[in-house]
Amino acid sequence: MEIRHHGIAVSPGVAIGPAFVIHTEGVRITHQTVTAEHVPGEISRLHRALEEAATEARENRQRITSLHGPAIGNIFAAQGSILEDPGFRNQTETLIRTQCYSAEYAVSRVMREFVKRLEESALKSVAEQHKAEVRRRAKDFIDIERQILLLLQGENSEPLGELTTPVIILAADLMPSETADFSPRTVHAFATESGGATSHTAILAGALEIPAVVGLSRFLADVSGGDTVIVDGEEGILIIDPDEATIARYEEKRAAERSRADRYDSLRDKTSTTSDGTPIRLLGNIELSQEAAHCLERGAEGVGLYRTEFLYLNKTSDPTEEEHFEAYRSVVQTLGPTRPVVIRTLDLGADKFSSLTDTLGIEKNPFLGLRSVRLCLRKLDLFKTQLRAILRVATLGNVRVMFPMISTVDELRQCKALLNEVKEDLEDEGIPFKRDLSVGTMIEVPSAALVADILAREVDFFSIGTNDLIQYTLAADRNNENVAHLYNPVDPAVLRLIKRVVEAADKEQIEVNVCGEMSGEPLYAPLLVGLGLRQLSVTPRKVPEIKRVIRQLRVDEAKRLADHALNMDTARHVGSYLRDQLRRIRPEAAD
Amino acid sequence: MTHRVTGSEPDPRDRVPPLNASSAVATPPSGVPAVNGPLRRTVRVVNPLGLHMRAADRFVRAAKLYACQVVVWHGDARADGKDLWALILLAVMPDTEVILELDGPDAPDAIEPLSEILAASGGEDYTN
Repeated sequence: MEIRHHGIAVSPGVAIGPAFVIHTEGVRITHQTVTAEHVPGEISRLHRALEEAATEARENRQRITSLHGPAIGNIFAAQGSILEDPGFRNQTETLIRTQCYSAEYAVSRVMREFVKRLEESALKSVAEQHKAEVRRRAKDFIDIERQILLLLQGENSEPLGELTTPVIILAADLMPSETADFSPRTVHAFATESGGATSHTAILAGALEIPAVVGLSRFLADVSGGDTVIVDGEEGILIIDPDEATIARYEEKRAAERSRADRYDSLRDKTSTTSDGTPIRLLGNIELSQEAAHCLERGAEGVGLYRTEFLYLNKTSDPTEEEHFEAYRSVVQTLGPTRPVVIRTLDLGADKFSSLTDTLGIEKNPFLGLRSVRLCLRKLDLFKTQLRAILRVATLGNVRVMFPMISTVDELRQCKALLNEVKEDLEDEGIPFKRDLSVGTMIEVPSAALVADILAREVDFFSIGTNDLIQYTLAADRNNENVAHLYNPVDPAVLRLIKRVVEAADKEQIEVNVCGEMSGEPLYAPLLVGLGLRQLSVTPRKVPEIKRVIRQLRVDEAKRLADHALNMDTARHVGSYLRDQLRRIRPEAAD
Repeated sequence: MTHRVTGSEPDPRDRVPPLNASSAVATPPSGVPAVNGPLRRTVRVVNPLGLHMRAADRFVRAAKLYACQVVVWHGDARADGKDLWALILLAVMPDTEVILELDGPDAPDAIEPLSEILAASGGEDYTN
């Protein structure tokens, strides 16, 4: 029977396929069923695993009791009782015999059905304060399921990266290090119980361009590995065991998507030039080295923003210089020696570095605190390691470095001084590097936008990070639902700052682009071109759409549009105006 | 799927006073033991975690020592007292009343110890 769960859509697309359920230690069910002649074998496997599990429970009870007393040790007594329950063994055996289920699938079905019954009835009938206790009891059964599955799996552990058939991954949560190994060839989509729109899982899904839904809340009790599921990354829906009509509907949707993708493909080799002949360079934003290929596939002319945070996330220790170098090298190799690759130095907060929270304590205001380049200037070893790798890899292609969150001229000068120090070190060590490495700065703090005239004299290029620029300028957290409405890329204040930055860049004849989400929205493309931008760096997936708008745009038209927008009072007015204009330029692109 | 917990109306007889464990059970001269009706006792579960995993396990291990049928009623839901899975499904929370129902020749021997376990506020340190 079909079950639907709703969550947060974080990466568009539709996937239909078998579920691959990840339990916390990567245990999973390879097959749902076995052939008839394997049934006796499966029953033996089941018995052996249950025996082993019960023995483990008994041994644990003994050991823990002798160490910590019987009250604690009896946790395992209860587990043993669950395992040795004849009803459980009979039910599982019956499923294997009558349905030809694999031992794993049978165990999982029985456990999940039970947990589901428990939660459905108990959570409805108990008082609020007792719901946690219900969940704790359910968890004991899930843990035992995992224990049995681990025993059944035995030595046959296939790490995730070795999947050979396409699956849809389902999990309570996915760590970036797990998802970073996903190959879009074998992982068609994923869905997780936790996670938000800006979680690392979400970012990765978008980066890998596979459909994903997160924040679904509990659904794993409703599904077993091997079940057919549908992930609708547009609407944020997970459908377990879909019925025929639903499958047909989604297959249609998937076909429509494919033909749209094909149309966009045809744009790949067309130039990104306005209808009156002005080139507007389109570059790609990437998080993972694997995405470099997406940039090329979508027709981007290079990488305008390579976010390097994923090298640091969810690791037990900081990446080594070689790890940095390898990741960068792979990107440069993919893009070739002439296409630009702009590497942004570490942009994480102090909360990601446990060694720092020990000495600094938890910051009350992390977004205004020791993060990004400020953190790097405090942790020089970290900063230098990254800079060394960048300087070295720059010999292999058109690599540039960019500093995030620069808020004062002094800060920028410190970064440049450090870069020089690192150059001297490499020189002394006889290691090849690019001496005249192109250096740029993100403009995302309002103070930097306001002194752009000074900064423009000290760097080779600017990149306007509109995501943070908008937040800092309007003093509003886009993830705070109470004030998110204030976050608007076309707020008159933001437009004035962008204009100021572009003018400062033009005066010193340095390059400037926009690399925030704003650049990937067709609605804003005419405005940005009209404000004077001749480069945009966008999520690779969005390149074709933006290119299409640009090819139908005239620069003088865009300029008039920008001037008009700058004379408006409110974000709302600008928004409506831009929508009208987009309808004129490109009817299908406007909402 | 086997139904472990069924809902049906409990017998209207309520609060039947327990037989004193030490009182002799009358046996008719023919040697066939008298058929005793089910013993029932209402017990308040006061364990701060309710009838949680270890408490239920302790109960089940004790119940299995007796030949009689052991049933725990929670409202109109019923569970076999020798079945841990069924007891967990009963979802008994703290400060709740359950009815312990025993049926069989050794029911009188079982009623006190089993009631005591249900009514215990701790006891997770059982050793059987």
